Formats: sequence, C-alpha cells, structure tokens
Amino acid sequence: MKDQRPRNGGGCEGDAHRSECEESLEKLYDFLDGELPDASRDQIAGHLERCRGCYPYFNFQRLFLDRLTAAGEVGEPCLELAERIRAVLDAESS
Amino acid sequence: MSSTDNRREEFEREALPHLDALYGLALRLTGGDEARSEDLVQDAVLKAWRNWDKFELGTNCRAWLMTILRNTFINEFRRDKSRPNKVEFEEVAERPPGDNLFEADPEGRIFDRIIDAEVINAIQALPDDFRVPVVLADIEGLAYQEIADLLEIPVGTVKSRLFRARKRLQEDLYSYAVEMGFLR
Repeated sequence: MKDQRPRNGGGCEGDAHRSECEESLEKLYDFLDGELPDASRDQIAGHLERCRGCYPYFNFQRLFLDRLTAAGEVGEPCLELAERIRAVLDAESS
Repeated sequence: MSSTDNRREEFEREALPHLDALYGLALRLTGGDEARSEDLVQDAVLKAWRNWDKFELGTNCRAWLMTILRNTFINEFRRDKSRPNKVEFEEVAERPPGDNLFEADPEGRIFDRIIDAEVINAIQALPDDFRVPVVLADIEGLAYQEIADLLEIPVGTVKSRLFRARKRLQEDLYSYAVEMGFLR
C-alpha cells in the first residue's frame, strides 16, 4: 500500500533510505496496532528515530488512533432502557 | 433477605452501572441504530443475568459484559447475509486515499479540538463491513486474528478494511475540521 507515504519527504534521501521508509510505511498500522514480531517492530522503531520524514507521520497516525479509542469508549445515557431492563429482570426473577 | 434478592442486588450493583457503556458500544457496532442497540443491550444483560453464577466477583465485569454484547452482535451480523454492502464497498474503494488531514495539520492538533460526538458520528457513518472491524480494533482493542475469527474473514481482509476505513475517517474529520474553521 504505497499511498501511505508521507508527502513531506523529510529525511528520506537516497535509494537505500527511501526503501527503508517504504518498508516501514507498508507496516504502519501493523506497527501501531502492536501486530509485529519483536525484530520487525524494533527495526521500525529504529527507523523512526532516524527519519525526519516518517516520524511525524507515524506520530500523527498514533494520535489519530488514540482519538478513535477515546471517543469510542464514551458511554451513552439510556435511562428508559435501564427501566425496561429492570422490568425484564423483575419478570425473570419472580 | 432471600438468596434470590442477594443475587439480584449483587447484579444491580456490579452489572447495571455499565449500561451506558454497553449502549455506547452497541450504537458504535450498529452504526447508530437506537432500537437495535437497545435490544442488543437488553439481550446481553439478560444473558449475563442468566449466567451470573459463572461470573467471578472481583474480576472485570465491564469487560465480561462487553464481550457478551459483542458476541451477541457478531452472531446476528454473521447471520445477516442480506446486508446491502456491495455498493457502499465500491464507493469506499473508489475514494482517493489522500492524506489531507496530515498535510493540513501534521502535529494532529485537531484531535484535541474535535469533539467526541463528531468522531463517533464519523465511525458510525462507515458501511458495516468497515465500521465493525474499526470498532473491534480501535475501540475494543482486539487483535487482527481475533477480528478475522469473529467475522470469518481472512486477516488480510481485516487489514485492508481497517486501512481503508481509517483513511476515510481521516478524510471525514478533515472535511469537518475545514467546515468548522479549525483548518483552512
């Protein structure tokens, strides 16, 4: 999935470096989702310490995923439903 | 007080405080369908009540209830083959995978300004096949393999749906942020 590449290009100069960026970006969400084996994870973590282009993008995606989690965990009030459920429990208990 | 009363009292104390959280999860999973979400919560709570003897007091009741609700939803979701996803699926696939939000706000300041309700709206507006993996991964914190097993789809499909859903969410949040004047 090559379209994940950040466009600011930052510290990505030279073919060797560029391919390291591409490799890291291909594993962006695997990395952020904690789905990578240790060796692969450490390799990307190392790359992010060196690469001015990739680090901001990974960091941005991390903030984005954290925001989804925080918003998604918010409860929704349901007073009428609570009453309905208590009535059902009463019927089950009797 | 009879043991039935004790059991009920214990259930009220341990389980019912989590109703709002359960209803929130149900709304996320169903894409904001209130009637269906209410039924889901009621079914899950009733299952929990019938199995209350199996619950170990002192362990995480909220997580236990969430799992029951999730499984109840997934069973229905898998059974429902008539879901109209084909068209919506194509529509998502055709969207350009732009990085507008990142380019406009690389430090992600927008995430502090945007309200929960707007993030939730964006999640709930995703088509079923994209929304459910996002809820399971990003809200429930399940691993790719667990999601693949639950939805009976390959891990590669889970990953590509998550990728596309997250891109689309970023595009939606970008549009919202521009509309609200947070970004230009």
